[in-house]
Amino acid sequence: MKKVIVFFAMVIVSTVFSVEAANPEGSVDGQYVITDCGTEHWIPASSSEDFAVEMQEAWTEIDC
Amino acid sequence: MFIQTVTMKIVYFALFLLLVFYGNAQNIDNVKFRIHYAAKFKTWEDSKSIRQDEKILEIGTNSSKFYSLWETKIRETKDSVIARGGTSSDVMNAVEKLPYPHSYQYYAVYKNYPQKGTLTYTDKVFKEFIYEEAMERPMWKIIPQQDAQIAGYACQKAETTYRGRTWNVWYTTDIPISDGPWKLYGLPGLILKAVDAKDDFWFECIEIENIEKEPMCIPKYNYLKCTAEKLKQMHIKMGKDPYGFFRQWGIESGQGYGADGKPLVYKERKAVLLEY
Repeated sequence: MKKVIVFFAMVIVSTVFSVEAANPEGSVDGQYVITDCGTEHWIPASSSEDFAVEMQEAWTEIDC
Repeated sequence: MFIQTVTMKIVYFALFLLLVFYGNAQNIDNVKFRIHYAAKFKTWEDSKSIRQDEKILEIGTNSSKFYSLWETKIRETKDSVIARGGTSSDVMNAVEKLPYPHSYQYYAVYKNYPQKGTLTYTDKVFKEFIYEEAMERPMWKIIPQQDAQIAGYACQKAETTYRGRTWNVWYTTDIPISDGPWKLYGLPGLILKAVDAKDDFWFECIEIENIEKEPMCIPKYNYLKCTAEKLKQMHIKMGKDPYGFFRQWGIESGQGYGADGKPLVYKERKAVLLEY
């Protein structure tokens, strides 16, 4: 049971989710990509799915 | 009945993957041999961990291709999910299920392509890059009496200093193909093991396959043309100043945060490169 919970937690952690987030200009229009090691980086809300995946991979490469 | 349905779904998905991949790739040769190498490498000078990968060297009639098996499989899966209209979460979930972890080494080396004596190099440093250069044969020194057995083949040792690194390699004349991992070639047999003197890079053959009627492909990505030097600078910039790296592509990332919620501070890091 614990393994199942840990697995789903990992899937959620390593995914991209949309949130109301402060972007570099201070407005609230964006989402965060979450890297494999849990760091978070803002990307614009209008980003494509492909771009979000690319950013998640690039930041994971840098951070993890 | 249930098993049949699941099997059919798997078959359809595999066919879809093949269609997506070959639809986005150009056939450049036919593969005769596929050599699998276990690879270990350092990404950053201050890295405490060593990253791993499985590399493939495909030997064709006229050319060869050396690439990451793991990153290729991940890319195929990602592209197929996106092509079906999947979200980034769908991509992550599909990639999670693969038996291939990320190695974050995306480079591929095509020797004797597009013509004999020319090498084509592709890499991904956020964007896809490509360059061509004249093939430069390393100057080898054969080291006697340091034979080894690798993947069941009797190998001899050779050494070279090539593009800023000293390489120790073991090659077998039992497979008289003058090729090897990365840009290494020019010995009277296939290189089955290559280790650089600083232990930053390590390749060792784990399997050799005879192949019949399989195409050797180069993916049709939106490559940006560059030079070896410009690509090197990309890797250096990514390690030195990640925010600046993305800014040059017009991407304003804003402040990043650690898993503990604290703002991320990036120290200057030196990328470990295959050539200097």
